This record gives sequence, structure tokens and C-alpha cells, in this order.
Amino acid sequence: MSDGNEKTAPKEEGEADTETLAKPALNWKVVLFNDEEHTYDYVVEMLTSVCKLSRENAFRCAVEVDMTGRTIVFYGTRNDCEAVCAKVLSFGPDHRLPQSMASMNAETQSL
Amino acid sequence: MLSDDYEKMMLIYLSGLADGPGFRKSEDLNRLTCRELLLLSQKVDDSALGLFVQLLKGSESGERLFEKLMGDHEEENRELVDAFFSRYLKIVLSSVQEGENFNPLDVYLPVHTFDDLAFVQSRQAFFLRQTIATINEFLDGVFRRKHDFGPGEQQRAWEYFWEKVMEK
Repeated sequence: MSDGNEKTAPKEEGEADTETLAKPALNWKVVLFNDEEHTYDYVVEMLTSVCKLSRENAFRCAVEVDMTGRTIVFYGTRNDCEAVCAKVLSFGPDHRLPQSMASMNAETQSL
Repeated sequence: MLSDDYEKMMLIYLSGLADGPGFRKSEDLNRLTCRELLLLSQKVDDSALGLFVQLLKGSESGERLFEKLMGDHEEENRELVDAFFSRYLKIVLSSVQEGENFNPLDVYLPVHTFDDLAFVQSRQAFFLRQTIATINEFLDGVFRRKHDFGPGEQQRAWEYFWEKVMEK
């Protein structure tokens, strides 16, 4: 038990201040889900714009979401992932397809 | 998803390309190692590569087959993986395949549909989603004269287009 009068021991020289050095954990991800209302072009355009992926990596994500139903498009902190996810959800419909009425669906998930 | 006919056709085609026993169902492709699958993909003609991917997608092991297309993330397969995706990208993406000339309105609102007013009207939201450059280009082609609607004038362009269609 502490009586509240304890003094904090002075830090040794070179001792790390763990509180100030702690980095936010990159333990969240954004998962993109497949649908039939968006083209490969849209996915590549959206991921290069929103997630800053290269065209080649965005294309691989497009193939993965098409083949498996989902793909992870971003890793980061919870705040960063939620921001990216919001951009995906508000990117708008695919102008190439008349049946496309909305953005693709995505979700922020913990690792 | 491929129709049964296309699936059978692709399986016969792939059996002819592969060494060893042929493929009777899409699931049989999963017996190939990632390297064998990637080497097989190299033999597939450009015109059939999309069907090849759709065949893999339709298989019960679709997720596993995608991992194989990714070379199971092994460095030794990287060259084959890069070659596959680079070729597939060129085939699939319209901006590469068709240059900058791809105009969605030409494809989904062709001139021969203009007699069907209900159909044309059903495309209004689609029309309004296009960039003004795409719309001007479409109108130029349809009405054989230059159009120069400015940014943000999609609605005005649609009203002009609709009026012209009604006049026909």
C-alpha cells in the first residue's frame, strides 16, 4: 500500500521513459468486401487514392477480393483504420456500371 | 461464376496444356503446387486468362488457389507471380486495355437504345455520375457536333440530351 508520500526514484541516465516513447499499436486492419457492383478499375482507383497503394498492389487486392470475397487493404491504429474505412465507404458508386449505386463495403477489425 | 459449359471447356483446355493427368473438375487444380499453377497460367492464352481466374474463383478451394497465385508468398516464386499479375492487369483494366477512350456512356447508353425512353430515363443517375468530359465526349459522338458543358453542368447536359432524344 502506498501512503501517498513516496517520492519517485530519479531515472538513471539513459533510462527510457516508456510512457512518452510508447508508439500506438498498429493492431487494426481495414477489410474490404466483394460485391458485383464494382469493377476492377474502380477497386484499383479507390485503393490507390484512399489507401495509397501502388497500382500493382491495388490490383492484387482487387483479384483477392474477387476470388475470396474479402481482402485486407490497410493496417494501422484504430483511428487511422477508421479514417481509411470511412473514406472507402464514402468513395461513391462506380461510374462505369449503371447498377452501381453505392461505395464498396468495408469494416475496421482488430487483429 | 462460370457456367457449366464454360467450366467444362476450360477444364478440357487446361488439361491439354498441363503435363500429367487432366482436370475433371475445378477442384482438381488444387492438386497443383503454386509453382505448377503459375507455370500453367503462363501457357493460358490472354483471351482465356479471365476465364482461368473465374474457374479458380468458382472452385471450393478458391482462397487456397489465390494463395497459390500469390506464390504462397515465397521469394522463389516472386518472378512467376509478378509475371502473372502484370499480364492479368493488362488484360483486365479497361484504362490499359482500351486506352483513355473507354466511355461508359457509349457502352451502357448506346444509340440503338434511344427509342426506349423508359430505358434511357433509367440511365439518368448513371449519366449524372459521369465527369463532364465523359459526357461531352459522349454527346459529341452521338450528335456529331462539339459540346462544351462546363464542370458541374451534368444536370444541364442531361436535360439537353433528354430533349434531343425526345425530339427523335
